[in-house]
Amino acid sequence: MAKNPPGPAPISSQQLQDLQDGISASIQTILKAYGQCQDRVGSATLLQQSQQLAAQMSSIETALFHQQTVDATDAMASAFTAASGFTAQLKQLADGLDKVSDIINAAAKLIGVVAQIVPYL
Amino acid sequence: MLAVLLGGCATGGIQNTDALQQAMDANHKAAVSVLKRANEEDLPYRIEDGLTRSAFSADDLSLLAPADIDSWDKILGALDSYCGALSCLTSPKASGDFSTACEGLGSKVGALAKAGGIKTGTKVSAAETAVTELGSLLMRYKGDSDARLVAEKADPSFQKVVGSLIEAFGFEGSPPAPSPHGILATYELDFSVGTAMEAKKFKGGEIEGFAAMGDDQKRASIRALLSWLKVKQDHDEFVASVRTLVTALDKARLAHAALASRDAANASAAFAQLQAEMKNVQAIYQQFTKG
Repeated sequence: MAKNPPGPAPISSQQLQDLQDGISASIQTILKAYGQCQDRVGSATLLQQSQQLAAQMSSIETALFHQQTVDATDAMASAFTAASGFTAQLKQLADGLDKVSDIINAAAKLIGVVAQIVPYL
Repeated sequence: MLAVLLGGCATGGIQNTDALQQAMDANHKAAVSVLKRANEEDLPYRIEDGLTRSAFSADDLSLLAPADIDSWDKILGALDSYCGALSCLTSPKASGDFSTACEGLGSKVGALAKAGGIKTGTKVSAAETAVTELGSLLMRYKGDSDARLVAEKADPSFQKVVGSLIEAFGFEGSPPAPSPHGILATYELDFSVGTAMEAKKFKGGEIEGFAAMGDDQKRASIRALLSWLKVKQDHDEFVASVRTLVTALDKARLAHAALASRDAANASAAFAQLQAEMKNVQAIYQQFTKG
């Protein structure tokens, strides 16, 4: 008899908290870059990115407060891994705030992967 | 001499359980008002966030779902009743008071069970289960006059409920330290992002490029600086109130553990600290409920 495929693994509160920790540090990096950025277009991009991430952070907080048990698909699991990679990258970039374009690129990728997670919360 | 000592201990017990009841009543009121205030404080940023969405509903207005706040209100209400029953145990009043207090807690626990929207396996349902355990413990020890024995048995549940709320506010450890997740961290980020332009414009409290401005522009900039300072002050007051509340919740947690530990010296110190926090917590409730 064929075995049923394994069901989706639940997302734990710990994972949501870890994701919030990563987003929190990332927003701080982006805001630091925004505070020092003299370029108008770069500033606007950074501000918009910080707003998008803050909105995602709020969505996660609503779910975390409710402490829902949410289901994760395989795609979700890989989105979590990708998000961790980008938050780590942004944390590293905090030391080299002159590389605004790198921060913008990493932030854009982070926003993209978190956008895959938020609808599941 | 022995009678005096015993009398002294009994008085200390009454004072401690009364103090715990008063502190938890104050913590309950302050916690619910802070949770509601968190939604009010965050509202401007929710509206800004709404501009980027293709759809917006009533659910998007609140950072914390009103039903979840209501659940915490009920959980903390049941914790008040538990502390009330504990206080009756050490009181020279008629034992009927204890029965009444237990029944009060029983009906509150019943109301919790009826409240919908809470999924099993969640932190809120864990807190509800802990409160239900407190109720059954009190009923089991109804004929016993030893409040400390009840506190000892009830301590794990008490710690679970209060600890869950401290964690939800976004604090870890004891004394509680802010973490990068949870209510306070999320609110702080919303504030930082939502006011990033003002923070850059008025860095160090100064108006950027003031000398080069015309009179009308100077007036407008000064007004903008004033409203920025007011927003900043509101933010600072809210953050301070969350910190005060969490400190008081932690002190209540320590005081209950001390009551359960039968260590009189430890309990005396813990309750002195708990009482010192009470005025601050009462002030939060008054501040957030006036007007």
